[in-house]
Amino acid sequence: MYGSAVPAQTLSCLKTLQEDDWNTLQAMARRQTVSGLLYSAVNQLPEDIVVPSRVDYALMAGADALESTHHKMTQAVRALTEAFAAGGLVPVYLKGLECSRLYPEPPLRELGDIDIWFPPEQFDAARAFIQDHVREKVCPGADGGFHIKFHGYDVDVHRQYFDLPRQISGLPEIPSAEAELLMLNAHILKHACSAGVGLRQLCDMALAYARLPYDVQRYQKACEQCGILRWTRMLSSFLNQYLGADAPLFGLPAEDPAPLEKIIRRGGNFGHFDSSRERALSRKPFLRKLDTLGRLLRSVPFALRYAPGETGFLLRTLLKGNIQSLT
Amino acid sequence: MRLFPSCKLHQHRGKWTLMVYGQTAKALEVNESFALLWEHFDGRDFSEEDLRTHLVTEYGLDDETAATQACAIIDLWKAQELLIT
Repeated sequence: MYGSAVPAQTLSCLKTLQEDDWNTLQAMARRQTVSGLLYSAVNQLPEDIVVPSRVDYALMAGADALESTHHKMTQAVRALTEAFAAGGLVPVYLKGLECSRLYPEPPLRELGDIDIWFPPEQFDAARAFIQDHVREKVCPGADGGFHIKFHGYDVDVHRQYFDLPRQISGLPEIPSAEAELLMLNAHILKHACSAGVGLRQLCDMALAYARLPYDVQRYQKACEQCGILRWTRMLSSFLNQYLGADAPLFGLPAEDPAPLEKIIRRGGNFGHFDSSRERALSRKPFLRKLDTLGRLLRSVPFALRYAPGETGFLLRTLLKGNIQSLT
Repeated sequence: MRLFPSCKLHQHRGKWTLMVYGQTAKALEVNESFALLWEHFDGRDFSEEDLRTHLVTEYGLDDETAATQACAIIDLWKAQELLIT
């Protein structure tokens, strides 16, 4: 992931894998939407490590599909940027395609939708511009933003840059490395405290710490202002232990990353593979939403422990969003 | 003629594999010579004469051998449905 060699201990373990183990590894990568990273990692393995041909071919086919998607989405983003530029608007792109630039092989970072943000003074003009010129149906989004389809892609236009339920003044200016780290951090926290979060977002975070030139003290101060310092240390502890990162602990002891690991393993990508969700998907919409609320409540102990200052606001916002969509 | 466009060549762990995305996807393990030829002609129109000339220039074959080899390569590509004529 960092472009460095696979550790010797990992190589020793890989030598013992049988075909079933490789199939399991591949399935896990799919659940966590990191198949591109697995392809890249397997590509670096010495030839004395036997990888079943079927697994190799499936990884190659997956990598080809990811590259194709990356190329098409890049073109769509270019067209979207040009469309907004015609209206004197400059969107800030978040997550997804922006995170892919941090990777050694950007096309191998799996993509979903397109997330953009406008400064407050441009937001209403952006909505009006889309309705008048881009001529796509504008649907309300979760954070007071809105959602459109553009060239076949889901585009979420966010009113808020940070996934924080309350407005906090004095945070790092946008754009900046500290702001981007805080944005990615808060996004992971929001999902860890709701439906779930997968390894892909954690890989983004590890690479952001590695590649972005950030000021640790400014970043620490921002985390303190948001009441998420302990969460950030837990996040760093996970990244350092499981992803070989050099994420900041701010001179304090590491946290036990097991609770976060459990969340990631249980639900995979945004909790989509949580067994309760799989059951709920076969039910009526109302019961599906009840399942989502149930999973929100299940996350309360985790949120209270690692982000107590934010828990009340976070849950209120998530509950409000879900109840609104129920009614 | 052109090489089938929906293909991707991978150099993966010391091996070359051509992933072909037709009506069904298939993986062809190929040697380095095949891979180099593929990379050279991928994405462009070419004739049998172009292939013969390339074999003479790049591999130092004599004209007669290059002609035989070019014919065999084209037959192979046709058999694998890798050629659009």
